[in-house]
Amino acid sequence: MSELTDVEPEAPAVSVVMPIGDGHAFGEPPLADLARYFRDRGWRYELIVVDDVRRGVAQSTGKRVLLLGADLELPVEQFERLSPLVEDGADVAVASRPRPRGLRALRQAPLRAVCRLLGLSGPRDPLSGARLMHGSVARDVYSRLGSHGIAADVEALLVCRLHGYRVAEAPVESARPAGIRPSSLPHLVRARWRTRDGAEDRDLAGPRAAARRRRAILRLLIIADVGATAWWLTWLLNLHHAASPVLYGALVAAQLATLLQIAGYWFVVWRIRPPQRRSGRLRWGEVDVVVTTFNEPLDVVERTVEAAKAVRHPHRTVVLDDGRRPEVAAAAHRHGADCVTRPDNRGAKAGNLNNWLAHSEADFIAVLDADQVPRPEFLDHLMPWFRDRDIAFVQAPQYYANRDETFVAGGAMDQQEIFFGPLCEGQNGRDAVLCCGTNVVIRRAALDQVGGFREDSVTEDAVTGLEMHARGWRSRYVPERLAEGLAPEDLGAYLSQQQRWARGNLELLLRFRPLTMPLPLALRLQYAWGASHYVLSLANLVHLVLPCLFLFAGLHTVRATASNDFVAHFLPYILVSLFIFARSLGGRLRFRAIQFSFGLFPVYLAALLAVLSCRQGAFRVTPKRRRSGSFYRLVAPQLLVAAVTVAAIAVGINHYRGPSTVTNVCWALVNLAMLSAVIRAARPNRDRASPGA
Amino acid sequence: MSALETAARPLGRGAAATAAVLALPALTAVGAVLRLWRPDQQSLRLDEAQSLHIAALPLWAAHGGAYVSTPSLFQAAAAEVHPPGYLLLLHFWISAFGTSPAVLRLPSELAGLNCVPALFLLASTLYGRRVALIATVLGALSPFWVWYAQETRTYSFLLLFSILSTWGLVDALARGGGLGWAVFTLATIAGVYTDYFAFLVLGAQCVFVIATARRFGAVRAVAIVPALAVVALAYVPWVAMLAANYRGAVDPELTMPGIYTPLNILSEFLVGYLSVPVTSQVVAAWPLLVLLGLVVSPLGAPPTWRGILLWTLLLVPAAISFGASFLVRPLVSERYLIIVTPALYVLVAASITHLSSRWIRPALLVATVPALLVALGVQQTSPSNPAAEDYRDVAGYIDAHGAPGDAVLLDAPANQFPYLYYARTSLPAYTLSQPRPGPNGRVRPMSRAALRRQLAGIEAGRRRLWVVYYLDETPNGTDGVRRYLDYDSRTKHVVFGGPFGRRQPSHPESYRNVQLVLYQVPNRPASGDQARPETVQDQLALRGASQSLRAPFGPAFSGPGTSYREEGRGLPPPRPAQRWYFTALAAGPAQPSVMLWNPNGTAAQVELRAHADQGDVVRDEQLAPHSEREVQLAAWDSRATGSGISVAGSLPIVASRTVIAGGQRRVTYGSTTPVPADGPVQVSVAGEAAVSAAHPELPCGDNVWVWTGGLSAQSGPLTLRLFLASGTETALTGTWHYDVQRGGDQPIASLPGRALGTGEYELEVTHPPAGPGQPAVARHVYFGVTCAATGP
Repeated sequence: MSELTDVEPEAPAVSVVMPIGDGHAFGEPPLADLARYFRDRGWRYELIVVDDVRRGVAQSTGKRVLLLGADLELPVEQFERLSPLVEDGADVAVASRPRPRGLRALRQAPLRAVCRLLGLSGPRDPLSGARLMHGSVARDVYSRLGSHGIAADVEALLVCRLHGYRVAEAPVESARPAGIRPSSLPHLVRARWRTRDGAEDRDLAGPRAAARRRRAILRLLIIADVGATAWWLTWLLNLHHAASPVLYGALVAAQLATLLQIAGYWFVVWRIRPPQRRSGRLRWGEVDVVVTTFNEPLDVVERTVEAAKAVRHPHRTVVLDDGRRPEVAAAAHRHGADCVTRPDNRGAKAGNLNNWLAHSEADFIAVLDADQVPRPEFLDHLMPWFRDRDIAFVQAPQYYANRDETFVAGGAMDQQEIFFGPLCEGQNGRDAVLCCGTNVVIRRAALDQVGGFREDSVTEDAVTGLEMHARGWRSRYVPERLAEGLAPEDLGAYLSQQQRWARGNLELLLRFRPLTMPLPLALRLQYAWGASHYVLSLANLVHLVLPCLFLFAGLHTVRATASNDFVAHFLPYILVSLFIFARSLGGRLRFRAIQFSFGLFPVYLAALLAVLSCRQGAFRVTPKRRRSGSFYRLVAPQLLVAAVTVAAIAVGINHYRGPSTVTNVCWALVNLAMLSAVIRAARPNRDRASPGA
Repeated sequence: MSALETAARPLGRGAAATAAVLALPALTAVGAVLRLWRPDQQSLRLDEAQSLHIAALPLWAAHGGAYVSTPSLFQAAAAEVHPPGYLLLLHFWISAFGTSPAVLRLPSELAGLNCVPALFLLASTLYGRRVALIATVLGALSPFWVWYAQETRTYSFLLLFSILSTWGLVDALARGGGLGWAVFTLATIAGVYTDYFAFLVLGAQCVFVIATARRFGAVRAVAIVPALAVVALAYVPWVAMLAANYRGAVDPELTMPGIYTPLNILSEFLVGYLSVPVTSQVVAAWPLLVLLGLVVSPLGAPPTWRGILLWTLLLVPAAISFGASFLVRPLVSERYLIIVTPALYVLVAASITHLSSRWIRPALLVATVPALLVALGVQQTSPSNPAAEDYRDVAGYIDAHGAPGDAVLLDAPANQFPYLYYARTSLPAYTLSQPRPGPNGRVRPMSRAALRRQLAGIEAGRRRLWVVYYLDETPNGTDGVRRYLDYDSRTKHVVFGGPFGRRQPSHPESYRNVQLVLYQVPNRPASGDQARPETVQDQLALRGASQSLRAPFGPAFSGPGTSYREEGRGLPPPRPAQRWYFTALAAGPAQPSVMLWNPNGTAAQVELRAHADQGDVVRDEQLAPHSEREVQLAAWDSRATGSGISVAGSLPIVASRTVIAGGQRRVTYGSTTPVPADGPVQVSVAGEAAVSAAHPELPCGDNVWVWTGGLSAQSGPLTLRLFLASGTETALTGTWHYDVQRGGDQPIASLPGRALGTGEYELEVTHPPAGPGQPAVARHVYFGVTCAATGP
């Protein structure tokens, strides 16, 4: 039942939605009084009397939506108390009736306690059906409700809180004080249940349920793996198993380093947050979408600029060209974007961004690398998170559109699946995502507080994000493909990118020392763990060398008599750990990703040495074009290790020393398999080189 | 796991499609060749002979009373660890076709062969033909499946019914309809009547249904309840039989699973029974397992119902087996866990199919076939196969080299069945009584004193002793027997087996499971009234079973002059009673006789009383020492035929009644005992009787008090003997005194502590004859004394 009493071609200033029945008041609504009230003030309005408040709000067209009880328990004049709150920036203004006093207040105390238990703290009068809302907010919120009647009033407030809508309340006069009837409790429970953990978003119900299941299974597996790890450590740390103190010491160190990485992974994925989505426009703030470029091909930049310009949310598109190329400026102008250059390249990408910050007054800055082509909904999905006033940046994943072009690009994407999968989802669970410098929207206020982007690091994004977190800002991750970029397509470009990332992370670990920063302990551990990943290359080296030593020279690391025990202690730990890794990725883990991580140990070692020796590194842009030719010289260390391993296998088989030889030959084969991907990536790809490269 | 969700895809067109159609028959044919070729290549194993032994029992007991010595097949099965389904099949099978190894194994081979297409059916229903063909290759060539297809045991049937019931469940849930539920119900009933481990499959299936009920809808999932009700109803008769007959004493004793067990079992599932050294090499390749874990990382995908099914079928039975092993009793054995292999093979096949690499997948497929065939060859031919038990060679060697005056000792009672299956000689064979579990369920190894006691009767007057060791590795295994015999200053010659015990890598023979050792017996002359334990041949004769399992339904024979006593193992023990009743047979062509045995050194008076309708017919017999007499009832008095007979003896005697009915010879037997019920002799160092212990260990130096009760004489002699390696030595003799007026338990003697050094002792308390013509009765107690070692 709905009735439009005032249909105008233009949107009315206010839509009055009056639900009747189903828990709301029955009776003849005093429509004439209402009409007179608005007519007297000369406002364009519409009156909607409806049995289901959700339907009424959905059909409303007004700039504001006023929800009133049909019996006008609260006189319409009270509307004037709510209106200023909405004008001042609140998304929702709730009319709070006076609190009961005396004996009635005592009777209400336990009911209010139950409400607090249900997480319904907030407005003093959550059951008040009288509220004024922004029209778009009302339509967004009420479209998500699963219940109607009294439960809808409460559920709407919970949804508002979930989606960051600002709720204000104004005291109103009413003959009946605010109160919760015991019969309302089931409605409250139902509303709480429907909004648990964001369940009100029915589009995301499936993925959210899957993520929750995945998280539950992961937690069980992690608990099991803690036991398996303890079981393994009881063996590993028993020095009676050492055949050679030096080699065993190396094995213990390598295993402990690996174990730390595994434990860190548990720590992160334990808090995987199921995906959430916010909608509705942020009703304030200017947004600059900046595309940073240095020497990327023009067509790549132009495609990005064109897409950035097409992003739906109101914004300004700016190209920050450190290459100072006229053709880039021309392309930017051609697409209606601005182009900004500077006389030098100081501070590389961070300096480029800071240069723009000095010129811009925007409240938010969306950063895109030159190859990251945003989708039109890019800002629509990220900006609503800034309704929370303490969110510093919102990060979207990087997706490589060219993942199928070359083996290297596929491997790079496989690795990104790990980072932008469980790792970012876990970091999201702690509201502290690693800032990746592209596909990210950053709040200007947060940037200003940390003095802009850090220019003294090759991973300026991560360090800047770290400093924001250290100042109490939060961040969120939106696991949706909102931009598509280009992966390095040849091994040279890939190694260059990996070298920069490794160096930047190790710098972050050793120079910025997240463990000592004023962060919550969990975030300190999270940052330190993430940046220490590259130290694992040392462990990889040990795992490569030990089998060769045995096969060549019969040097035992572990006492032969203890080797049987070794298997029984080691296998449960490693297999459960691997399964946790695979399960956390939900089937998206590819062996190639692990191979690439393992096979790049020389690159990571070089970065480690560079950072330890305090050598300054230059910011190098990852090439976006495939280059022809062979890259075997870049994998010379890996080739050398592989050749030594093959020789070791031959020698070991020739000098058979019992089952230990079988084990070491198999380890060597595993090592060869792990190295094979990087070596394969070095194959000449002249025939597949991009035209014009 | 969802990554394993491989849609049923056509295999191509033309030749490829033709190949696909022909693949299953071809694989089945290959499976048939592997299973049916040379089924008698392996000797009959202990378990198989036990199957044969039970299958050869009559279907129904001749007498329903407590004294029936020959249990029915159902009673024996209920007392054993297998339901009757397979044994019943085998019973009719051997009745019709005989008992040669090839014939015995044929039912299992046929069941094992049917597992191949059944696996294809299951896998193709789950993942389509591509995965199904790979899984079928694994199943058809699986050395593990081939091994159990060639074993006269339930496992192939268990496997077949498990696969079929799982297929039925999948069909019922995925497609709906009654066919699936019908197959599920029937296969489950057949499974649980074949092997108790089918319940683990059923449990896993129930877990799966509960876990995936929402996916299939409650209506379909709940339909399992009536199916389970039918299964439960069908099992009620067997539950009743179990309640009446299950004793648990003959359950197999398995070793506690070790930390290495899962890997070993996985290796056996995949490559079968290789020799122990080869298995070590295979297991040493464990790093490849880590590589596999990395390569099949798509397993981390959210589980589909197919994945949940397979993982449930794989993990739930294994988890229950391992859990029960740690909580209740060891239950882990690869043969029982054969039920998880279909899920394992399908998972492996699906994983291989899922591999994206263009060369790893074909390389794996190409490598798998020869690898499985090589493993199968090693399994079938290696003498070091850890599951092989070569009784054929052992019995053949004894046949060829045994001489009159030799005896054969089988170190465990169950050894007799495979040995007698192959033995051709009439050499007397003996088994050792096995220690029984105590009230707490623990079984203590047999003491040296007990061993000595048992061996003394066997060895007296013999020159050589052939000992067949079944080298199981259970805690109650028979290593003690070997140690005792080896230590006892005998000359030994190891015919089959390693000279220095088991699993010596330098001696491949040491990996044999059945070893044969020939011992020269020290000079132990037989006394004039030498009493011996009954031979296994005599035990079988007493039970009415043929002495050769090759002809289980043939006539039973036994030798005269042998004393018999009830061992009670595998049979309901007769109750001690002075009068012994044989219940009447149904009227018919019965030809009853009664056999009387006097195992005593003095003559015994026996009263036979036939309870005929017209009144009792009584006959007295005088039995000479160590003699037997067969009384033909028809020749005695026609009224006695078909009547109940009661027997009373002045001394403990054994009586048996033989009936030939239905083409079978059945013997029921029991014994009389004139010894009044009294308490056992106990020893303690305190002035009070200690809590009775079977074999107490006393401290050194204290006087030992001897307690007993229920004696009817004032005094009598006692003898304390010390067990030495070469025999017993009388440590002291004395007299006991008992206050008959006071009665009850009282101390009757005190042994001086200083006379008792470390050792095992036998104390014999001899009760004088109760009256003229009555024998003296001796009571024994065995105890050990341990003195702390002192320094030089």
